[in-house]
Amino acid sequence: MIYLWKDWKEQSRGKGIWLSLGILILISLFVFLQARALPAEQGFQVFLLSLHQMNIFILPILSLFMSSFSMIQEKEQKTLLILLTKKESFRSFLVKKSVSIQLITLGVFIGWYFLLAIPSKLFFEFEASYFMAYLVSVITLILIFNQIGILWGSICSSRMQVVGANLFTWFFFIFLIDLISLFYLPHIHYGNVKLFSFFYFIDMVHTLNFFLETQLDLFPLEHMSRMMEKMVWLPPSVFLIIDLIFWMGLSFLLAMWFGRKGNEND
Amino acid sequence: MKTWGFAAIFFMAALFSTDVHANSSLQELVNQTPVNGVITLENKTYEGNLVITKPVTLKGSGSTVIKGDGTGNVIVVKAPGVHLENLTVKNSSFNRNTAEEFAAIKVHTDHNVLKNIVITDSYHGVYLSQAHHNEVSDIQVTGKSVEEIAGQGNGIMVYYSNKNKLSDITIKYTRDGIYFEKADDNVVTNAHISYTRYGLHYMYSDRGHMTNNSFVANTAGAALMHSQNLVLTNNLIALQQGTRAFGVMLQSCDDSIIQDNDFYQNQRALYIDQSSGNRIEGNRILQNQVGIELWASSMDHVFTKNFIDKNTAPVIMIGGQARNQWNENGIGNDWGTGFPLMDLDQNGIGDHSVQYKSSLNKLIEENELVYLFLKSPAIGIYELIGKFLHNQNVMVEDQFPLVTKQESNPLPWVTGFTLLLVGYVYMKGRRKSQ
Repeated sequence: MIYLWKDWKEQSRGKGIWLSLGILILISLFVFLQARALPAEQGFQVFLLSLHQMNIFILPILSLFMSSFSMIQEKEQKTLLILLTKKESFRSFLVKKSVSIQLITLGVFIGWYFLLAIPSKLFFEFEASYFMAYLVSVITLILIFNQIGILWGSICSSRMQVVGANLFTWFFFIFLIDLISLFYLPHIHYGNVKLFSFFYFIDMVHTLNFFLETQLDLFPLEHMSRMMEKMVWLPPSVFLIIDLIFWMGLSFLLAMWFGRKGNEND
Repeated sequence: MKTWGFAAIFFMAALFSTDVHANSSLQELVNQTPVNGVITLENKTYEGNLVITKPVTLKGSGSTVIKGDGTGNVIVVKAPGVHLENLTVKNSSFNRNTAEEFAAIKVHTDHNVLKNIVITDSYHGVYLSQAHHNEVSDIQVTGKSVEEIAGQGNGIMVYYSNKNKLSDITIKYTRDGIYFEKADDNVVTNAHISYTRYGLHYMYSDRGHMTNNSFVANTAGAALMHSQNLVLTNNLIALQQGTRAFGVMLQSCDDSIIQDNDFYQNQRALYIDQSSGNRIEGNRILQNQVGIELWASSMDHVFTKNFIDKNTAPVIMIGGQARNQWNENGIGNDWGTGFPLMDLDQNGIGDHSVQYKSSLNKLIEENELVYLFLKSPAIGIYELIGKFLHNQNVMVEDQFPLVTKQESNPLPWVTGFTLLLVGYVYMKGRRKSQ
């Protein structure tokens, strides 16, 4: 609770979270105005999908910067040193810090989307299950990239390092994986598509797209080719849970391992 | 003794009435009705199955249900001039181990009218079999959306049936929405078909007209195959996603007109293969992954006055260039904001041609999984790399492109308003802290 209160004060005074929220509001309103031109029946699905496609660009970078800067601030202001000398283990610090960062960012961003649901209900044929699926995709995106940000904040020793790591992470997930996949695609055939599927779906950006499109009834999983049936060997929601556990778990473990080492060296 | 006597009579009457099947009572009712007579049914469930062998009118009263026994067709029309109105028809057989495919309403004759009918729990919805000049309107068919393709029939099946009029139709969760086989000169208007395999499926059927319909969120909007002289105008064809999805497919479909339709957010808006002589005019092809996928086996098509904008790839040619016309009488297509044009003489035609090159065609030809990546921002970089490595091929060259009309963009207004709001909140916060 103390961590939550401390982080909330730091984040809200630092203005970073409000600036991020401002960007999100701006994009949401723009997409909303564009989607209003669509027929009401399908407008809501297209609106949510378009918002998601924008989120894929924006939310990872915002989450990465907010969480990693929060961690690096603990180092710069020596609060981490004070906390660790007060018989707080690095693991327990990391758990509390992760929980507080996740709760604050989720609270602010998800709060905005609940507000956005009000005009959506007025202008579109609002479907609660679609909205919930969208929220699940936003929450997953924030949780994973916050945790990766916490990892970079734990490992890096300066803000410049953190900026570099964040930008690389963003570029890696948004561009690089797809670019490599596109060049490798001619070598994929029925025999090795399951292996390719593993690498495809471990990228949470792909899984989230797939999850949301199927949940919004826009991507039918019926009438697929044999190749695609072999590619989608688990339900998209299961792929999503695997990604969430894998990326959050991996980021936490690496942060604990390298972060503790770094602090011992300091 | 007298009381016992009445009780016995009452009991016998009750027993007798339950012995007469509702099925046979509805059938008897129809049988007893004179030719061209009108039967008004009550607001209750009548049990089918029913065979109509004389021209009669069968009218429901708002919530009249005819429920089949699940062993065959619920209603079979074997006489011409039958009217069926205001009914809910349900529960046909789904048995596929017989020579016949069953339906809620099967029509074998001409000049019938089917109006305001809701169909559920049936293999096919309405089945016109060698039935001509029928009017089918205000029909709502909801299928079971089973995973196996053959497990569910079509919303409306038009088989060897000509000159029928289908209007005001809503179909969901069936195999195909409306399926035509060897059926010529049929007209479909105001049909709304979603969550099916093919919204509209034409096989060996000529001169069909489809106007003011919407095909949304199907695996494919309209599959027009082995047919000629079809006309598809003013339809909304949107949100057909999935790796093999398309808005409209023309396969071995010749001399048809695709005009003034809206193609929006489809995996491929138009997919044309082994077809020739089609006219694609005045369509709005927006925000699809591929605007037009044209196979080399297709030729002699005319593309004019189309608005093709904000697609990941506006045109993809597979298997090489074919003989197609991208303008007619000096009027080409509007290629949108992605292809800026000069129009110094202000005649609405660009001062130079539009040429679109891409390296995606090879990928699409080689692997269907490429469709999973067409929304990725990496596609832009892939195309850029292809450009530098001289890997790109010319997909389309339009000598007379139309100049894009400017549409109002809300972004500057929204940005300005938000910045003002943020500034106001920030200033207020500062004053408060001071």
